[in-house]
Amino acid sequence: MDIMDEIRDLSRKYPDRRGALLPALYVVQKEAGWLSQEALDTVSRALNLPQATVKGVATFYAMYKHRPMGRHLIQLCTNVACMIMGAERLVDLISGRYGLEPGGTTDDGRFSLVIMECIGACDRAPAMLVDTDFHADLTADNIFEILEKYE
Amino acid sequence: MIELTINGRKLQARKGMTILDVARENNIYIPHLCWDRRLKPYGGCRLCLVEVEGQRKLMASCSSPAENGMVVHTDTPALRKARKTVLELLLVHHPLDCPICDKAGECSLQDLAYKYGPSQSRFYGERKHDPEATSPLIDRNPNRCILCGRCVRVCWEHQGVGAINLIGRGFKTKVSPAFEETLDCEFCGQCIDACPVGALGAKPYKYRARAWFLESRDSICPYCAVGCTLTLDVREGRILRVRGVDGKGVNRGDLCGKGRFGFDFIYGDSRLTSPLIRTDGELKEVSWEEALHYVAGRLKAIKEEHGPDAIGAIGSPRTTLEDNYMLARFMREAVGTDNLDTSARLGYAWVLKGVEETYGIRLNPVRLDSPVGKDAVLVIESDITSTHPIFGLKFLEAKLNGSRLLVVEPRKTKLARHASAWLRIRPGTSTAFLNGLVRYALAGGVHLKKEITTEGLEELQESVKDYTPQRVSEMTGIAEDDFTEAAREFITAESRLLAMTVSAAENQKGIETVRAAANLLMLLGEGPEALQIPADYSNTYGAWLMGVRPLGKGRDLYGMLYSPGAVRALYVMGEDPLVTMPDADRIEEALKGLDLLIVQDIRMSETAKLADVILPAASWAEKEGTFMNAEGLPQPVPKVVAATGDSIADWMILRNLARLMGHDLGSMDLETLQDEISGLPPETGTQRWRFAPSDWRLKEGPDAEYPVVLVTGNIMQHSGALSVMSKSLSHVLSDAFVQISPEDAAKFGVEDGGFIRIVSRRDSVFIKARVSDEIPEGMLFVPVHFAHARVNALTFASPDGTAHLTAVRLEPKA
Repeated sequence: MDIMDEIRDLSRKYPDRRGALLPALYVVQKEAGWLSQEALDTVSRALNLPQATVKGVATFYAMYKHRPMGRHLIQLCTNVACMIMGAERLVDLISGRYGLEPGGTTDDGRFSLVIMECIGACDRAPAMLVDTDFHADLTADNIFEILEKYE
Repeated sequence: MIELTINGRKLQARKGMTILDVARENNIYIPHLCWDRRLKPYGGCRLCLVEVEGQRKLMASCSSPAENGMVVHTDTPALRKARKTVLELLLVHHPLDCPICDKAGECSLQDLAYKYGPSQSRFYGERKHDPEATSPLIDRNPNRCILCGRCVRVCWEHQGVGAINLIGRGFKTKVSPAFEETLDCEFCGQCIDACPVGALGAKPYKYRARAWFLESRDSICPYCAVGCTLTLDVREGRILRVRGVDGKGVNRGDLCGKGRFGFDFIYGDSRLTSPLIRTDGELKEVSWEEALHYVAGRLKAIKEEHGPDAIGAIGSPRTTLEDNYMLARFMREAVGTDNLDTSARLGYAWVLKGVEETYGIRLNPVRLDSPVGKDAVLVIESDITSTHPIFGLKFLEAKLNGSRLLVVEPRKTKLARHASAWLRIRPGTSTAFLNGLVRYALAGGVHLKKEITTEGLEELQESVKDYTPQRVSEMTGIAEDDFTEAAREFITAESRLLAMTVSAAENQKGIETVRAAANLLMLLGEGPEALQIPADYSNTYGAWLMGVRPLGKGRDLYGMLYSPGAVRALYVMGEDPLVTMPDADRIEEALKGLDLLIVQDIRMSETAKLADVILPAASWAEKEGTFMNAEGLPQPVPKVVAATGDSIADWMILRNLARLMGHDLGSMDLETLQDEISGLPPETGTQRWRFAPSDWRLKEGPDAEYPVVLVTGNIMQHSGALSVMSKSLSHVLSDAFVQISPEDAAKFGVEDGGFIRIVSRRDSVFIKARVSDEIPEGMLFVPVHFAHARVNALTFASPDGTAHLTAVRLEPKA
């Protein structure tokens, strides 16, 4: 389905076009992993909302990305529970192995690393999301086993 | 009814009021920064906090509904402390550059900091946004912004534009267009008035004065017929800026870009400063005595030789009631002729004629708030938010309050974008659309359910019988289903309104559209108040009432300007027919064939360049008088600044001239003049409904040789031929252009920004093309304001008042 149609279909589920804005942004972000000016313009046209409204909402939320991301997005939690269970050590390990600083992307475009606030998995800390996959009980041993599966 | 106590006073409130609403209504002070009467509560600035007994938390009064039995305190030590802290937090990154900030002295933050807080914050943070430099008219200085969001919300919620938003989050948030580009908006400047601090300002006012040196005077806007109240800020005899003041005037503080920025036309370079007489082909400066003696002598000679009916005059929809009234007296008494008219003949006169033929009344003033509260509002081929911007806002407000807004329009106008249903009609076919609605209503039997007049009903039924949904769809290009859905919605609505504009600048509607609209409304049992067609300009309505039109057998505008040789002398006051009226070549021929052309104007207009005598008139703000808006409301216009050069008020020139013609019109001063005007018999009339069948037929439809139709009109930032004198408005747009659809651009090989030749049956023009998806295939839209483009050489006049849409062909310039 054409992306414009997908957004218009989506907007029928909401009482007004502004209601559909957040899900519509997800739809276009899914395409390239981030929100380019063209992507925002698509949403603006599909929902008949001003570009400024779309951009303003998109820049308010951390889950929308405004620059190109790697093929895979690692979202690692370092909030209290994860931190106590050694998440910060995992950050260092990832940085060391892939040359990947928090907020950065590897040179080969394989991974981007984002430090998350709580993802609600304190019982199995430390935890992370890779793209939309959930991984918990992370250790220095299993983390690369997991990450290496993502090309 | 809700009862509550604020500061010990027992007060009553209506359901839906907030605590702040109740306090304001009872003159109880609560500070606020982000609140705006026109907008939904936001609760952003936290300054309007109040204590409510029994509530643990302080409550934001702007977003807390008043409830029965509430006991509210607005000024307690706890509140003072809270407000002080809030101010300190706002001051964290607000630069204390008050000494160079234009807002100082009228800054809400400054005033509140003075009242509640320290002038400096305990906290420190710095924001380093660069002031935005490239946008015209609107100055943005994000460092001073307190992120209250009023500008953003006014722009979107109230104005329906959404040019700016809060981009980013937290400390880095900045009010900006989506991609930090140069502003490309309406330039209404509503954001400037909404800004409580110095983050947004009017560029033409930048560094011009400290607020406390300004003297403020209220006046009425000289542009469109809404008649907004402008607050003029004057220093040392010069108007420096215009503001809208909340609640003031018919506009209640709202202004468009023309009203806010267009006042500087009075300082335009083309202003006339002295009378001029043409001798040996050259215009030479002369004294008033010489000029008036010359004019009087020539007029007397022409009158003696050819009779008074060899002389004619054209009045102005822009000058005051007094000026127009004096012109009418001058022509009727000193000259002795009824040859008298204004540009209303090309538009508004047809509205009034159409209303008289159907409803039987002679005037039908609009009501500016009429759209609000109607179930269905139908807008017919009219860009009301551009021609009458503040009236236009009421359509957006109606939509926001739940009205169904049905917009029948070829262009993607602001109303089309906000419509509940936008029916993209082929230009010039709205009469067919309306006839289709009439047939649809008759077929549904509405005329059997309501007690309406039967006069002309049979003829009406006969005349619309061919306008079946299928035929209407073929004629208008609107899909059959869309048509029947809109028809059903409009016809079955509990309450309804039909609005459009019919003006001298437009060519796609005419008297047949007015008749068709009135037929439809009468059939639905609606009176003339459901038909809202505003007059064009600040005093179009008034000039009509002052009798600047043939009352007997005199020649009207068509008889003077489009009939070369019909008159030998023409007196043109405050009008530029060569620019504002159709078929410019024919007008030029008529003007050049005159023995005597007298132009009385504030500036060297295109018409003045052909004149034998030019008389300099004082402009709006340089003379006292009265404008009558489209509601028929007379509003005083004060003299605020001194007249330019030797110019004097139009009515004074005519009074003086009458004396020299040997016809003293009495000891005329403004007061006796106004007494006489208020003594004029009112236009009365009782409604007598009858249907006036109105067939649809284009005089000049598209054909193989001329396949595209040219629609003329006013754009948002300009108004007739006057606004181009304004440097500020010209800063936004000063070049003529024609809008063309992407489809036609591809078909005819036209590039965006490239020049094309447009050829009609009369003439051709070179003009810059702008490719725009606002325009449908098969149509061109061209604004009429810019004299150098001479687009009215393409168009033609339509003396029977029907639409005069022009068919053209395109030739890309090689």
